[in-house]
Amino acid sequence: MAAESTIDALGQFELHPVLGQIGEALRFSQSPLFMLIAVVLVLAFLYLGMRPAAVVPGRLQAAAEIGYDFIHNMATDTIGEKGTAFFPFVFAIFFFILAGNYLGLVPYSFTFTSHIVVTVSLALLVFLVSILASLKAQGMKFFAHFMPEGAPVFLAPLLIPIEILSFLSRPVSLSIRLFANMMAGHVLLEVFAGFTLMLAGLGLFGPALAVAPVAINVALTALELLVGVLQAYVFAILTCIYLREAVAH
Amino acid sequence: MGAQDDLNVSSQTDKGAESFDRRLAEAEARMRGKSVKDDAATGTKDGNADYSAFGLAMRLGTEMVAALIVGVVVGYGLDRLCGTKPVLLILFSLAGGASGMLNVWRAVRNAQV
Repeated sequence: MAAESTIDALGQFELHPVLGQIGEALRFSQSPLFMLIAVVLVLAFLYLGMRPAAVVPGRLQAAAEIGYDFIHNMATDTIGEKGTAFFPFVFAIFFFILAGNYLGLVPYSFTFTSHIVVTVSLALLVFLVSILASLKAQGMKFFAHFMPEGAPVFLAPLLIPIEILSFLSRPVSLSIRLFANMMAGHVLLEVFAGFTLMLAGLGLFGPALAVAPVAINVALTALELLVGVLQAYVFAILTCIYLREAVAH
Repeated sequence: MGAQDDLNVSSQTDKGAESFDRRLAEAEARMRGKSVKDDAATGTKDGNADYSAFGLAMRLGTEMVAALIVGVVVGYGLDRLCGTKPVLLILFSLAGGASGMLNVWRAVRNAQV
């Protein structure tokens, strides 16, 4: 991937048709392919994990149950009593993003969460669901939230635009956070891998020095494992917070 | 947690209701001494607090920038619609910065870390 003297850090995010002729005809790139793999992995994890349905769970069943419980507690604790209605939505979002983040760490794979078009779609989905939920739960009172309670009326021309901008910034911050974290992590991995190749070609002491970027990459991979689950968690918990504000009152 | 792992291992080696009862009794005997302490140490509340502290740190920067971006984009768009070239862009950029601070304030205030 990295050439002799330059590091092509962004080349890994380019989309190419996959699966030969069929992929070219359908414009089917790595991104939807890895989305499909992520969905299949999550469904297989739940299906295979829960198939034994043992009273004392094995390892896979325990993992599936912990995952279910974790999101269920998050949804019901944060959203409140109506949380169970939104639990499948939050669960799907969390595990889709988590699978996407972790699939991207497999060599030769593709990180679909590193494309802003994917994260914006997910964030807009959350945004629209929360607007529809609040319109259903609160009706026209929803628009009253743009004027903070107890504020003097003469400040309304200042406060209402600020509140509206704050509301509109939700999908932007959701999508930028996920996209930027994933892209930055993968660019870093690529840059240090490029350093390894460049140092290895530096004559006598080069190969010995090239060990250092490899060591850094090992540490970065561990950091990416943390960032991957953390970003999925932040996305899911913010979804819960927005839905709580939607169904409250 | 250690006792639970032992349970999982033994459940793969032998199956059946009889051995299950025996293992359940063993596990209960093992857990009796330390159950109170373990529950307090590995409760879900603690785990979530760790996550949300780190998650909050990741949140704050983007909250501020995102509101500013939205303010600039809305101001620029309204300027093009109304033909009032720089006025609305300036006003909405300031409002965007203000709502960015508001976002950060709300995120920090609601966090129980």
